[in-house]
Amino acid sequence: MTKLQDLTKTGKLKDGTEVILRPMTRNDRKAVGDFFGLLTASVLQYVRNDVTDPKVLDQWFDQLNYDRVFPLLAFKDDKVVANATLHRVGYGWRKHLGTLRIVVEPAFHGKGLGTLMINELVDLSHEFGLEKLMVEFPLRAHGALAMFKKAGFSPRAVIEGLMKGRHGEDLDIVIMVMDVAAHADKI
Amino acid sequence: MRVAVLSDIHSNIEAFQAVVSDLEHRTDSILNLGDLVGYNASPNECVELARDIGMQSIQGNHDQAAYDLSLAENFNIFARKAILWTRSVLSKNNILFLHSLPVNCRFTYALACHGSPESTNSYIALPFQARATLKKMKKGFWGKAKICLFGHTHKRKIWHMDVRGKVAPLEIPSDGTVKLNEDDFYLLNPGSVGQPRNGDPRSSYFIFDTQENTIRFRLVEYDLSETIKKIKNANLPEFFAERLVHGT
Repeated sequence: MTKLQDLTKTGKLKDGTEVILRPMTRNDRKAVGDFFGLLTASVLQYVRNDVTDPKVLDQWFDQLNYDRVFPLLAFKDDKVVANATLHRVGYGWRKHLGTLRIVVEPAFHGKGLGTLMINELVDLSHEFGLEKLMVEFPLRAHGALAMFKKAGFSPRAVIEGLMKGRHGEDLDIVIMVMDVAAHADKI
Repeated sequence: MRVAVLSDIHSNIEAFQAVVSDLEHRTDSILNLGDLVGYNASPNECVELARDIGMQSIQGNHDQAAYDLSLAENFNIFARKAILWTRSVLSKNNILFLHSLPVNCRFTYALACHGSPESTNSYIALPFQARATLKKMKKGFWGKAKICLFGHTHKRKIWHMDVRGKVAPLEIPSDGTVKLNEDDFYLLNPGSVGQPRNGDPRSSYFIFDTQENTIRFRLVEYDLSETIKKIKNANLPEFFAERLVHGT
């Protein structure tokens, strides 16, 4: 059978930079650790898990289950520059729904890398039979809002003061949704 | 005339052979709505069987990518892997055959396309997509056809627009037979022969009786274990084998 690291694809960013996209595998533990290790506190505050803790990353790699979480990495010169994940529940009322999370190295912001990775995960969601995708993040993350809008998501709700920032301030959260079947032919 | 309408065979020769056997001599012709190749492990066998039985085919997006790899740039990493493999094993004659197929076909009884009449890559999966296509059919965008045969979604489906212009999906009855109303417009999808996604792993197609104006959906079992064995032997992604078991 094909190994997941063989499922690669080359993507071109707005400035002509080429990146390699492929699913994360167990062999990527060091590269992913290095990636998160270089991110600043302002970026990491929105990451759901404490990825600066090696034990958290070890657990991720020990428990890789692509049916539940499909992790996609972007590489530039063998270095991870973005990490996006598609989360699925295989049963019940959320079976048709996937959720996305994405972290992009700040040096690659505004170059279309996030959109490239989201488009790939949207297309994979269609392949996996998902009907809807959802994403949530702080409303003030204007870059993320523009990126997900460009990828075909639309804002459906804002919940005021639901989360806390790293300095304890209240954060409004925006929930964006995409209809995968409606968007599949636009990719 | 009785026409067997097949779609999305996707290099699954065991499923294709089972459907051809199921047809026996019940039809006057066989029409394939595209994607003879891609995903599974028997592309040459499927193209050759299609030619041997004189099946009329149109191009699907995977057929197009098999002869022009630049069209696979937008494929996801799984589909892309499969089409690169397909291209590597397809004979030159079979690539030329795929290239020679028409994109759409207009028959006296219906219009045939892969995704939608406008694009091989488009999907008719949601009400607004069905409504847009049916409205254009009503305005005569593609001739006088009141019936459009389409594939690509791998899900059997009937969309219907009545004389008032109301668009809705029609439920497929348990016996699989649907009588079409001559005054109404229809979008008809036979499902997939080689990679069904209706939650039922059996191959799906229908027989269209143009005199009686009826369609009869058929579900056919095939040797799934052999198909899976070939996927493994070809080193294609395991996901392709898993989805055949579940029909997803």
